[in-house]
Amino acid sequence: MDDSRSLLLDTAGRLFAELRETPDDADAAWQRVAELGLPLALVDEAHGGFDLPVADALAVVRLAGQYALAAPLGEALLANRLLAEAGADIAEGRPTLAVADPHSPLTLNREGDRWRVHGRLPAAPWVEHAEVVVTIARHDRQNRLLLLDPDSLAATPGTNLADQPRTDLTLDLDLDNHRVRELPETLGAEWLFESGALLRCQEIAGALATVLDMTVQYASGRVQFGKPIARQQAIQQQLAVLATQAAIAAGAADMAVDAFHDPRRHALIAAAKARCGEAAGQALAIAHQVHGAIGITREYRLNLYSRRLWSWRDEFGSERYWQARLGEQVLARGADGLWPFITELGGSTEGARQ
Amino acid sequence: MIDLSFPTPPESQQAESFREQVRDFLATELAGRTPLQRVESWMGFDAGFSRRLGEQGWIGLTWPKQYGGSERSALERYVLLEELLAAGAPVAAHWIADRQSGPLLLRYGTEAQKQAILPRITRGECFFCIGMSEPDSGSDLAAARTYAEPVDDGFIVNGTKLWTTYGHKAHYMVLFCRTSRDHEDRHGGTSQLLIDLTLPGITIRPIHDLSGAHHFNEVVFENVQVPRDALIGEMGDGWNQVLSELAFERSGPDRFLSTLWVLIELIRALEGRDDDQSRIAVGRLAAHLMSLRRLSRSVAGMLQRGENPTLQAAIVKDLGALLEQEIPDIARQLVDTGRADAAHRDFFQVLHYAVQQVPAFSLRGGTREILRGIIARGLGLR
Repeated sequence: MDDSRSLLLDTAGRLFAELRETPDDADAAWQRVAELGLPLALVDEAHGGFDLPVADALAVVRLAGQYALAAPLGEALLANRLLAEAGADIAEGRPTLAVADPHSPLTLNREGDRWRVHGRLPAAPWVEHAEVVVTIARHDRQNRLLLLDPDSLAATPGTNLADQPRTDLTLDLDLDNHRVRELPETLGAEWLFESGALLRCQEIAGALATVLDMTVQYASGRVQFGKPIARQQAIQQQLAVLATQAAIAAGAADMAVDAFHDPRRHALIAAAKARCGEAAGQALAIAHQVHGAIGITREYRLNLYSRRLWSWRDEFGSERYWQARLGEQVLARGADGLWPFITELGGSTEGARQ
Repeated sequence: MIDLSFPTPPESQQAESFREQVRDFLATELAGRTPLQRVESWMGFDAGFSRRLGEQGWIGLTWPKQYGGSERSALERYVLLEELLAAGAPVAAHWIADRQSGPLLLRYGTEAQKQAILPRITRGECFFCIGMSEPDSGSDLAAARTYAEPVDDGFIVNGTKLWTTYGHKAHYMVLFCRTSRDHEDRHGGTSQLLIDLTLPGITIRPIHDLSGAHHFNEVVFENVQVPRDALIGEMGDGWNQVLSELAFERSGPDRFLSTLWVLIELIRALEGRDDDQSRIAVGRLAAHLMSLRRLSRSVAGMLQRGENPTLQAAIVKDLGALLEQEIPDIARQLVDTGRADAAHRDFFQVLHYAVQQVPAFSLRGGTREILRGIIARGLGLR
């Protein structure tokens, strides 16, 4: 790890640790995160960002998962990146993003000298706390970034299992030209959905590292039958399995991060999100079993992680969704194409170092 | 924070162009090999194939040229291994020597041992077996009782080794044994010997596995006179030397590709089907393969840099065995095995072969429970 990366992670880690003590004040948390400039981590210097390698910027998102940060840092990172790509002003405050279901994309049409957008953006994260919501639509073979004003949207507020704001947005509105900006060909709605999945992979990997840590510590301190339960082989074997799931989730998330610029990112992120989601479920079952009754209380911190993990594995494509997408590609290549498919994707790590 | 990190696997354009070379060679060499032969994976034995691989310079690929090696990178070796396995090449004859016995000799062997043995290994002429397990010593390796009594001109060996894969076709065994009568010193009293299996007093008896195949053997030593120069490394250092072998043994592509050919034939059997169940199941297995391959390649990078990834290797092998064992189960959920279909003959053959092999995957090279014990130690629990 080079110096700028470790400096960034140290600084962010100290802030996240401090914010962990006041987990309920999302606005304050977002304020502090923004003051450090973290939401600009994926933006290049020309647009007021840090010009960090993608892998370093996204490492901050894993760290946010590790500390159960109560702010949508990942969403803001991506939203700012898109704003910069579209040549729009970087929102100094609070951008978030929203995605349409991949099966029912938004429709964008030209009406006179304005734009008309129609469709649904389900479970959009943190809309009520945001100053701008970005999403991507396509019109006349051109990707366009839509800059939506949260106050102008028909919204049904809700939350995920972790009480994180998730709002269903129904769009049927006119947009001025300055709110509809051209994006490069590679940055379509599918790209945004994949990138959202990549954020959740990072957060899952971070959260699982904490879950492993907490569970090992708990088992080492909890005495039953005259000794810490961590001395029991049955518990040790379970903790080992938990560790393997945390490790494979981290490896899968690394694979997704390295695919950020890769033209074959779809398959790599599909594999990563499917694997991370599965690891989350398996790891949590063990973490709760080892913790016993204390783990299922609201007071004990494990639920901060388990409710996030149970939500994140569903968001931006569940295991079932991504497995089906990946399986479709594998089956299309046929039996003799399986191995070439896997080795071709083995991949370039150059993408995330740019 | 517990550090379970797997560093980014190194990339090499050279290794990728080598991959094409290996594929071309195997396409010719293995033409006509049936799926049932290919699913044997690294249990398939063909001395002729190993010789031809040796002629390419592809055994001992990373070893120094002075011992017959090709001095290529660990990444190129990784590519070679995974391509051999993915193609279902019959690599068993030289596999053990290439994977662990040769590297052991390179690291601990005497100059004379290296010169005598390593070039023959690289030519595909000299095969090895591993003498670790015994009738009363399986996972508890330190309980080995085979005793090599030090005498003036060497050792007198007595004892029995068990589950010795391809012992009946190997030229040499790396024998893990006691060289001290002090049974209190479970680890310090052990050594490794290079055993010429043609020595008088060695009896090799077959043990057939449940499918009826003969891979395993029992190797009995009765007053076998072994010369002094057969000692590998230091007297009494056997335990440490064995441990250093294990990271090499546990993290390679042979620990998660054993049933790749079941998946390949499954995909063939699913041709023409257009249903979510197939897509989801195949996509899930592909996701597991891709993720695990990344971890395995990461460990290859750590080994190349001379690090000691014992914990990471145990994680790869534990996850790898689960995947290898799961593939046939999932295949059975997608194809109705109660109605064997002549059109899918290859699929049923590889499936039935694999079903009989998979119990071994979480036993060989360290049982699942031993591996999880190692991981638990890595977590600071033991």
